[in-house]
Amino acid sequence: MTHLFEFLANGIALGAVYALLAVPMSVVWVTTDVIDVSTGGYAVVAGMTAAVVGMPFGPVAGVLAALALGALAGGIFLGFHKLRKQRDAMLIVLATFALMIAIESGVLSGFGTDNRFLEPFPGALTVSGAVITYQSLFNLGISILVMLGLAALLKLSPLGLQMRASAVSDRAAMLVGVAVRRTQFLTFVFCAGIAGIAGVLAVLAIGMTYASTFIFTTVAFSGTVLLGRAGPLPAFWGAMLLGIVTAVSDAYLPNGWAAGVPSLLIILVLASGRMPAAAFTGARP
Amino acid sequence: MSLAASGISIRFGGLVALNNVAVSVSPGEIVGLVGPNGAGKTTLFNCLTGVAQPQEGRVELEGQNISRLRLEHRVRLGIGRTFQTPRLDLAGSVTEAVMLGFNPRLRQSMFGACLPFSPARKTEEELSARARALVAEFRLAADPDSPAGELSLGHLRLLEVARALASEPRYLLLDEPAAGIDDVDRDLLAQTIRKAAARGLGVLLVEHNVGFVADLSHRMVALVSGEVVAEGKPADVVGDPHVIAAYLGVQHVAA
Amino acid sequence: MSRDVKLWTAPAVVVVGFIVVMLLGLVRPSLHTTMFTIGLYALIALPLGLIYGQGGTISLAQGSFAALGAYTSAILTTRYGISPVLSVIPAMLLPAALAFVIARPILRLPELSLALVTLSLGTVIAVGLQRGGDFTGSYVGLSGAPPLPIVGKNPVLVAIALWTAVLIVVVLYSHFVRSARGRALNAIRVDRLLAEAMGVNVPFDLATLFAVAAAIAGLAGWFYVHAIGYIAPDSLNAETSANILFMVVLGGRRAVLGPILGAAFFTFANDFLPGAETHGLFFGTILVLILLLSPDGILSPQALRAMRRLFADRSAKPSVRPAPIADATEAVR
Repeated sequence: MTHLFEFLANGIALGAVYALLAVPMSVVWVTTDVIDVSTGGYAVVAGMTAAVVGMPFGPVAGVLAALALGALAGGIFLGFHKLRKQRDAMLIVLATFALMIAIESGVLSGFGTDNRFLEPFPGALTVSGAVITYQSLFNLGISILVMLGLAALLKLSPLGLQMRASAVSDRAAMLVGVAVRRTQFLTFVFCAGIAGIAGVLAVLAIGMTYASTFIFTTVAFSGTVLLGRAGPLPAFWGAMLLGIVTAVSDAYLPNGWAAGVPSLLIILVLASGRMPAAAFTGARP
Repeated sequence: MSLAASGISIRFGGLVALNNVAVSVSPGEIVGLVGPNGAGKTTLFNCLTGVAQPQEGRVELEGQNISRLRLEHRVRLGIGRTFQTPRLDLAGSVTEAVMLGFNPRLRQSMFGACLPFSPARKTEEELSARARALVAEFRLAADPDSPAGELSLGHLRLLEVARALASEPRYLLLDEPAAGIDDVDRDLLAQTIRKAAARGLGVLLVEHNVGFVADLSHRMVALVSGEVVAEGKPADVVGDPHVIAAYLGVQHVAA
Repeated sequence: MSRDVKLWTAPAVVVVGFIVVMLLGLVRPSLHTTMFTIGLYALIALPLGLIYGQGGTISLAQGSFAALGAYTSAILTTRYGISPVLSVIPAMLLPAALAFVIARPILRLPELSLALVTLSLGTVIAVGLQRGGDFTGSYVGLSGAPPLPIVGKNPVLVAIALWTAVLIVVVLYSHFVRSARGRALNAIRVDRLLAEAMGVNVPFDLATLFAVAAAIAGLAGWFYVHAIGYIAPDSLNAETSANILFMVVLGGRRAVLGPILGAAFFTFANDFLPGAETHGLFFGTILVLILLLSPDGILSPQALRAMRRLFADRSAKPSVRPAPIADATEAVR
């Protein structure tokens, strides 16, 4: 029983990091109809940079690197809308896929194949026989803080209002004077930043390699669709659930199978048809 | 022997789009469906063709209940339809766009389609010739191989009609075919519809231009806010007070 | 007559190109191996060209289906002693069956969803192969697969056998796009509702094509494992699928020869680019640029039309003005 409790606790800590991957992906998706496949890339670049620069400036450097890449993605997005009369987000999604490939290669070239990590917070506390590290608690705390910050941004700030307007209908928002494209660009940037925070937390808690790029993106998307609805709140809970399921699978399934859990869930959720088709068509008439 | 919908009711969320609507078309008959914007005309079309599923009611094709069948199935049974906004491959040629219309009547296997020197090759030549004849008949384009995207909206609408006729349907459902086309083409359209009916097709057409429909139809049905308010001879329907009220407002009802 | 010419242009180019490169290979034997690689990629990419270019649906599982084909044949030949001549059939049928079963539920959803599900499928298959214990050889894979029948290990003969398969696919593909079924598939890409209004059973057609694509990928896997002799989880995987998509997009998803051109570009670029790590940067950047500037790739419809006009102008025939309408009506009776 204590084992299960410990796995649950690990799952929640994992979910906290996953949430910082899934939520930004879902925010970009809802605001721009684009699934930013390079989300995992932002996280890995941030984590790797943080590991190499080391404390105390590593995390900051990492998040800045992520923001820069987010600006690149946002720029590509704007490029598409300027050059092509696209009503179909598919090409842009493919472009983010290409960006992910490029980022992964860049990380491989720059940082090699080694597993990188930063020294986590030492120590742990024991709650009824289960060991919970301080790092996990820290991750959970940061994650909740970021979520609250995001909620405040979306509900209270002018940018948040513009983002929500763009999410409902970019054309309508343009007609009432919302700077939609600029809003969408900024969305790409700071969502990359959130993913960057995820990367820093991950490099502290579990370490990462260049291959984590694709894994993180899969995790992000799995959390995003798991609860069958598009949006930051379902993404948050989806990611939490995913973290728990992964941690428990890791404990009870034969070695290595847990790696397939996020992908398997994506297939199951989408194949069951629970995700409404409208969530994917966006601007198409 | 007809295409008939009866007792059709459909709701979208809290909005009642159609309430206990019945409409039918018989072979050789031209039925005009009129009504103000939002009356539910296109929704009724969608229920007849299987794009929308009503909560109540049934659709029958010559006695056979087709309510559960999907669009592509109904199309293969002989119902052809056009769309309010023309749907076609704008990058392809006009001929190819029309050739697509032959599909419902074809029984081509994927295997046969790939093989060189198979019957599919002969079919292609025949279809191409027939499509070009239709392009010429409808005066769609001077060069049948030009991209379909170069056609005017009016010609695109005519293309949709030509394509729907290509499948040799028994019932033809036209969704606002005359909108945006000039007088010459509108006459051609009217002529085409009359010829089709004379050949035994049942035609149901939705139109805003009440005059155009009244001249053409044998029978008219007026739909207002999801309900049938008048039905019968064109002159009667056009003069019906409810219809006039719906189009022009209550104070214009003649005493 | 001009119709027939169009049908055989692509196969003719393949035959001529193949002969030219193989002859060059007499001077530089490594070209024979390169042709094998390009042929393998071409075989896996051509069906994706059909599904994506004509059908508008992206599959990121082609590499994994090839892996399934390779593993199926490897297991059957090494563990159960079945001859490669026979094992080719399950190598093609197993991926096809899986593809068809998976496709029906997810093809109801738009392309974006299918793309991501197929990518996830690749991951699940990879994990399965890695965790398969002795049966699949785990992380190490399986070795000792018998050579291809008849052609054995001779690089020239192997290339000929492989490209014969490619040629057959090209011929079938060319004929398919100029048929009623091909037009139906094109309609699916343009507008699903349109396709349905033309009597097309969209889920069934897409699922069938998806299965056929998987079968051809399985065939490529069969070639791979018996020509090379071993298969590991990393040989053909999600990364392969991504590369295949790149080839199709770069070469031109709307042209029959597009995927082959993309495969050639990818293979030669791989050979000439320094250091394996930087490949992704290079290909990723090119892919973004292509998507931005010419999403239909190098052999886009516009480019092809321009090429045709170039050749048409050079011919001796006087230019033909479009006939007046009355004449056209009479000409077709």
